[in-house]
Amino acid sequence: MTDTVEDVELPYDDSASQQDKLEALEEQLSTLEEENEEMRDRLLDANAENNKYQQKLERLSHENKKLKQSPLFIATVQELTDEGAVIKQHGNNQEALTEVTDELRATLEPGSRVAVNNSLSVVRQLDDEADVRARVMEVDDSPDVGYEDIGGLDDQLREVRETVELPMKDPGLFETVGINPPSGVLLHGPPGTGKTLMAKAVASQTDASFIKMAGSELVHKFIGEGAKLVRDLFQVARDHEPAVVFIDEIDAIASKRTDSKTSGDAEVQRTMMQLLSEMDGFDERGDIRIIAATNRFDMLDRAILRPGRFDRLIEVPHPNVGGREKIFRIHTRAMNVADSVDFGELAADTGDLSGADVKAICTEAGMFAIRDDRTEVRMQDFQSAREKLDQDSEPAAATDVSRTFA
Amino acid sequence: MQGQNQQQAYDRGITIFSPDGRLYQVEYAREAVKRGTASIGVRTPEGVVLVVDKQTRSPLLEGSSVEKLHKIDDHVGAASAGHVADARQLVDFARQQSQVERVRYDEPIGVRTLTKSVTDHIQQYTQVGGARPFGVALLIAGVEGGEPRLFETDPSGTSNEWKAVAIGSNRGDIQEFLEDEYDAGLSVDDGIDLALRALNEGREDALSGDGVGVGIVDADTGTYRELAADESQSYIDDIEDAADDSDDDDDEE
Repeated sequence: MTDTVEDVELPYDDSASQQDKLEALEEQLSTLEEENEEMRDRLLDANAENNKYQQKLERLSHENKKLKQSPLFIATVQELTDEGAVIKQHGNNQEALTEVTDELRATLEPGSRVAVNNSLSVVRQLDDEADVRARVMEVDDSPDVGYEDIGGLDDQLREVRETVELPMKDPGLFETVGINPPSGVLLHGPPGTGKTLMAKAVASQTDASFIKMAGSELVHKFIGEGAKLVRDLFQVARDHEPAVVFIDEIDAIASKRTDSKTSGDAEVQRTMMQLLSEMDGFDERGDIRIIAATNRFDMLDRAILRPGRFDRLIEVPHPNVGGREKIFRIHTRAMNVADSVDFGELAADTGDLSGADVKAICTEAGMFAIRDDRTEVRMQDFQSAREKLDQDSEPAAATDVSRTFA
Repeated sequence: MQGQNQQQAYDRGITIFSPDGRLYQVEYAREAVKRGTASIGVRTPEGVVLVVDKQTRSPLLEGSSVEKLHKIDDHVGAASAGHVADARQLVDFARQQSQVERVRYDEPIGVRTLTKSVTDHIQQYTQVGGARPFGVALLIAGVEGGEPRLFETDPSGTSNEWKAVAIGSNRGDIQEFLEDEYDAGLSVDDGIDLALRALNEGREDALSGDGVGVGIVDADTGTYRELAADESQSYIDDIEDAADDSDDDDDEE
């Protein structure tokens, strides 16, 4: 470096000796060298920092670009050939022959789910998961219902437990006797008699995975979707053996097959057929128990009622007097009830009412007490509630119709 | 609901068969019959008994104006179930036919002949457009050549002869009861007793003399007559006494 600095402040007095001047200069040189070193270090640091930020910038702008890009399509690999992979897009079902990188190719197999971009080349492989809708049906939090919350249905409950619990608790018993445990129960009966309640109790009391769904959830807009959901549902169940599948309001999909030409009906029927074959078809069902509930037993297709699918058809009737009394006690457990309330009398007084009606009476009775500014529910409240409900449910007078007939 | 769509197209016209050979309007007319209260006929060697349920909806209604039993001719009576006004039309037709027979041949009409002409009339309303079938069934009871006869007509125009039969609401249970209890050698009193017990079957409230109508065609005299309310009541009392007695027997055992 030939830079010359004019007017440098010298670290010595002009009057000092040569020796002193030299020492001072040397001292200055070493300080400057140290400083230089330090500055170089800082430069390096700054450079590194710069690099880091540069990279971050690059990454962010890349990400930004990616976000602006159009999303990937989902497709299923149909076949792997020498020329590439045949994929079928979900939704529109278009098939295409496309390129696959060797790296991806090693992991792909027919049936894998993949993501493809706009030009239909395979970008990455996706988890081969069952339909999300099927997965969310698994019940993780057990409902807060126990067997003791069910009033009156002792025989029915016993049959359900025999079917669902016993094979899990004591599978050896069935082996010894030499029979296959019953695999499915169908609960049928009028509305409000506790069919779903029983299923809830089973869900909370067994250790098995419990998968619930409503029949109507299986009805879909596009052909084949309902059937796919049924398939996925049973796949989820098989993955979580032992499992209990509960289908509420099964009449939504399992009604009698007719020659109806409406395509909607036909699709619902196809969904049912998938259900039939999953329940007792060619493939082994595994350790899966099925509980279904309906209040339109007469509407169900005969094929679904045959043994092997639903081995037990359990009628859940309106409760009898004893059952109603029990239900009254269950629903008033948390209520502040006066000692004078006679549940036996109430039960005898409420013929033909369902469990849900009894519950409604209890709630109504509580409302009467509140209206009266009391915290204690008395017999009178229950009677008023019953009368109120009677009025609500009384059918419209049929006298005008009967006038025509004799 | 499934199944109804396809049906709907075929129940619009009375003259149109469904692909499986049914006439839906006629089947609906049978439902009208079920809306009527029960009528029961029992044939015995001594005569034919008709018992009808004419329970009134209001205590202010005159029981005698409830038309369930009809006199067709001296020797023929009928009980109806279903659409009252339709029944009146058929009864008028039957009365007219029996009078025509008397004028034309100077003899009382045969019960079978009368039934056939009534059912022929009913049948026309299942085959002609622009009309509806009769929403009523009749039990036609009479004496023909000293022999008691009991016929039933149906909204389709079919007629059947019966030993004992029920029409109207709760028909199935009553018919079952009759099938279990009927005996070919019954007297007229036994016949009334049987029919009343059958009517009592599956009823919630008790029978009363005002609430039932009893018509008898006697084979000996060859005449039709209706019992008064107090006569019916005495039969009902007999049944109740018998029931009480058997209850007492049960208690003693």
